[in-house]
Amino acid sequence: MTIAQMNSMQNNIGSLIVRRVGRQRTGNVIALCIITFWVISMLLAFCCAVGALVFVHNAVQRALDDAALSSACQLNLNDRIGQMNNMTVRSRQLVFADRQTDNELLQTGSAYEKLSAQLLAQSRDSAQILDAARAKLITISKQDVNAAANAAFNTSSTQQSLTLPWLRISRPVLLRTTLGTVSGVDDNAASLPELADLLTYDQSHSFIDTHSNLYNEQINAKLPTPDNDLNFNLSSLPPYLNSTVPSRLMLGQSFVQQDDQQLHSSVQLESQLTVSLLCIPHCSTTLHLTSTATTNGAGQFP
Amino acid sequence: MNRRRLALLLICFLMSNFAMPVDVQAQSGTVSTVNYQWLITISASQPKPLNFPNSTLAPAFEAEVNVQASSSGTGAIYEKFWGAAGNTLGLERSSNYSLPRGNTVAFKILHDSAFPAHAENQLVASALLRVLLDAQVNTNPVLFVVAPSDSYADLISCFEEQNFQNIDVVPETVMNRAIPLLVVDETGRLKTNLYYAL
Repeated sequence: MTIAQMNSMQNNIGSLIVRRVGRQRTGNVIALCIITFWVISMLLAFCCAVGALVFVHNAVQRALDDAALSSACQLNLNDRIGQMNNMTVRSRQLVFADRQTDNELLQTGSAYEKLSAQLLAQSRDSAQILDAARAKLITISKQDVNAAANAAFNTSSTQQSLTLPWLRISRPVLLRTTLGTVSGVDDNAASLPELADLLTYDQSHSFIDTHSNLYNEQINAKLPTPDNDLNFNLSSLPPYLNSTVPSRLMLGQSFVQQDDQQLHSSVQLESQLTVSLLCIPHCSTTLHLTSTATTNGAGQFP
Repeated sequence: MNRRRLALLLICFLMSNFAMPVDVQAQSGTVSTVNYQWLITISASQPKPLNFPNSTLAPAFEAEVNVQASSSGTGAIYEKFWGAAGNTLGLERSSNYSLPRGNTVAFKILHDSAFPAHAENQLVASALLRVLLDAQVNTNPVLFVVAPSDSYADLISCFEEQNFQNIDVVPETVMNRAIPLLVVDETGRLKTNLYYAL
């Protein structure tokens, strides 16, 4: 092969490569642009979706926290739980003191014995009246909590629904309101030491926390026989210590659900919102959010 | 003639003064310290407990029982009572009943408001009867009860609700065994002898 032949062959191959490469470069750029644009669009759409989801989630959580705090404040409105606990402890002492007096005057056959029995019967009636008032207060506070939670949540969450061309986040719904208490918090009422026999009885039945001198949480501090038919339910509530403990959000782990036997001191709200991908049929999921708050502590008893 | 009228007026004046109960000798709220050794004061007021919205126990009242020796002006809180709508709801005892046995006792009732509610007087009557029983257990004779003039009549009716009756309407056989309670108003002009009707 001569040098001239080799040169011409080389030129032919070079021109062929140049033509081919030129053709491929033009097509690849368009394809690359399309692919890149599609990927970026998808990324943008995904980021928008995630951002919107996070935004709505935070907004709903905030609304739920507001609702939980508002409703928790209703639980001990005007210190009604604290006052009821304090009065229950005093009602208990009244019955016990009247029983003691009645025992001392028993079988004297005098008018004093009759008067003592009469006053004891009255104090026992009053204890039942107080227990009935406590039961009514449970109903009232439940109604107040539900009303406050719905009002606060609906006000805050009306703007929280979102619809994008490929994503829809439904308006959040307040699913459940659960009432309960905070584990490990004693009753706000302190034991009254002047009736020594009652104090000894309470200590022997572990009604009193020996460190704080407060009645233990969530107990029915029944009196000795024959007054053990009376109920003296004491609810958990932070006591008054120079100032009232304010209402606050709390961790859900500390929340203990309870029945309607006791007054409630904390509330847990649960909300749900549905997220649907419009580009994929039947692709939706439900997000659950919870918020827990406890009511303010007891005020100073007069 | 003028001397006769003057003497007559003088006699009338003297009679009106000595018409007050001898054992009280109360003058405008002050009680004589001659006849008793201990004065138990029951001060009623209307604080705020249980006055929350929709409360079935409102308005609630408080009665503070204060014990002081007649010889000294200072006293100590013995008990506090709370009540509403005629029910005595609670008791907080602050100190022991430490009067010497046999010492005589008088009660005095005070109100924060000029025109106390009937429920407030009901609480006062109930508190007084409970302290009266404490006095009986400790063998302290109760001489009399001094009540404010404004609430005197209502207080008598509250004692009647507690099965006390005026001496005029209680049969003599029952009276022999009943609990005597002399209630006078702060001016000393009104006096009611109550007995417990069994």
